[in-house]
Amino acid sequence: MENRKIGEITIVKIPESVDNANAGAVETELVALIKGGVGKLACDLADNTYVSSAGLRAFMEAYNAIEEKGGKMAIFGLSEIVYEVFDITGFTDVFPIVADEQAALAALK
Amino acid sequence: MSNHNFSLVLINGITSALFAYIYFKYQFGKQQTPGHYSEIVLGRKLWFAIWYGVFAIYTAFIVTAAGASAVALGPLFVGTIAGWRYGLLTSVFGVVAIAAKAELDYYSGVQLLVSNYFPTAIAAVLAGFLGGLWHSRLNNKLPKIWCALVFCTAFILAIELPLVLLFSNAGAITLRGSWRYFADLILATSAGMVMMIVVIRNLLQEQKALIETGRMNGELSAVKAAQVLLAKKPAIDNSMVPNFDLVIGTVTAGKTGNAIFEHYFCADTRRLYFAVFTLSELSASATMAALVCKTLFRAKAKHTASLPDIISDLQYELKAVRAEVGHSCWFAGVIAVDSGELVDMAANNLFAAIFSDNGIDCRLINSSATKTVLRPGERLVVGSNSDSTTTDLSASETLLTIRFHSPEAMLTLAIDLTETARLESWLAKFAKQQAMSEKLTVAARLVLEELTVNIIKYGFPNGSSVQDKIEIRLRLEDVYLLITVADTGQAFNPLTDKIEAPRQKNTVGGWGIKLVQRFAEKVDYEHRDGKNVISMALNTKI
Repeated sequence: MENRKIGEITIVKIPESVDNANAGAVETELVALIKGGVGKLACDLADNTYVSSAGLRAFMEAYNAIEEKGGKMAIFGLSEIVYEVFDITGFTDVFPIVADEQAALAALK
Repeated sequence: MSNHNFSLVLINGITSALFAYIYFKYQFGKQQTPGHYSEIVLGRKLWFAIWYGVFAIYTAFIVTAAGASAVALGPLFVGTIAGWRYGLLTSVFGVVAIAAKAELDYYSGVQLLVSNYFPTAIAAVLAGFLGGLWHSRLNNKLPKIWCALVFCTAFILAIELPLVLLFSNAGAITLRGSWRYFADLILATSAGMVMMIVVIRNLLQEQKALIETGRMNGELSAVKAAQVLLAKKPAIDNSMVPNFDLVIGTVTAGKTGNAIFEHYFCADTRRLYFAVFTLSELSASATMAALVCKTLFRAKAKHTASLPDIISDLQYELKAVRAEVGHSCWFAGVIAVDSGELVDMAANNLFAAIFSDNGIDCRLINSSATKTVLRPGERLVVGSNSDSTTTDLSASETLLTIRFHSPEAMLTLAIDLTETARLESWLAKFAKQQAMSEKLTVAARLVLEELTVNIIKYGFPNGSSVQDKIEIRLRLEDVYLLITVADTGQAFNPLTDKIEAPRQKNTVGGWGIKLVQRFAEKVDYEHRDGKNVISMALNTKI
């Protein structure tokens, strides 16, 4: 996954689909970034159209990892239906889920 | 008989024969149905009018005695063949000729009206009308011999004779001053009619022979195409209920039958291409095409219809129709029918009606170059006017392709997590074929992934065998996408039973089923025949 830094915030581009097949890889990569020192993580889902519960698990594990280190995490750019997936499962209460990159940067400051 | 009258008989006969020959040769050249033969192009009608006009002028000037009959005969013929308008047009030539003759005989315009030329002019005009009336009476069928002869005599008796009697003082030009030419008149007119009829009969026989040859050639080519087809018949993948592309080709004979089938049938194992081959004859095409569609739709209605079932249904139906219509047809994956213009309105209407009766909206593709998937919300327009006029029916090419994709699909997965990748591509294909919305597609993918992953992970705690499988069925209806997922794992109701998975902080326990319940408007579970069966209905307007 591509990532770039804006200040102390790292923005990671999430693939088009995060399902049972690649959720493990996404989780590993995110957790590796966090363990590698990223304290503020913004996940860019602008290209993403599909997240299943396996995908949710990847985000949850990433969140658990960053929380342990006292860091922060936000996600942005969700399609309508992917937002619903996060919403139904209560993720909207766990970490900020915002519209775009600007909002994510503001939430992580 | 005077020399003049003899020449009239001769000219009348030759002209009539020529007239009949050119007319029918031209018609047969177009290979149309008898029902179409009245469709003469305007130029030809004018040509006939002029031809007979010249004849009328000749007779009015040269053949003094029986001139009137000749003047009226032209409009009569043309009217019979082409309708009253053209009969009248022809009579104008005759009337002008008579007027010119009268002028030469030193009659003024007013005198002409009361002169002995007047009845002849009236006769010409009436003959044009009468011919037109007869034209519509014939209802586009060929006149029989007796009919023509009786008609010819009746014309003279019913029109010319009363006029002669009415203006008996002056006497019509027809019988100027004497009855002695009357027999000659009948002879001249009848001779023309007889010659015309002989020519028509010969031409009809010739056409019949041509049709027979064409039919046999066409049938032969269909048999050959079928042999190629059967030799190369690919195995049908039953993971999807078969989809059909109805390919309708215009193959007059020979070579392209094989090419079409090699190209279409052998190219794609997922689709069966039916072809209606159009041979040189006519009329059965609409029936045949309608039948094929009906059978396809019936097959679709039977959820379990297998390919052999459909083919046997079709064969049965075609046999019934063959018996009924008496046309030759042949089927073995190939359907060969004696048929003509598939784009004629009768066929179009039948197609449209059948598709619409079956609640199917689809699109016509009139070119062999493009094929389009039928989508819900699109109506069938088979051979609109512009289509039929731009289609060269004599060319050997695919006329139209109607792709019909079943709104049902089935997939079987082994108990292995890597199988879920297959699920995605299978669903994507179905969604594309059925033009499902993106949101519905995502929702369907979600519920399917959640359920299958659950089943694979937890449904077989004691391990699975090769017989174990997950069977997924989709069925797209108007309001709902119906999904069933059946598995052979241990009895487990995901809607009520809890998965005993190791729990940790912020874990995902039960999320999958939460998603299923959110995106499916209805979810039911039952344990049936040793299988867990989950049935869901997703609103298509999700």
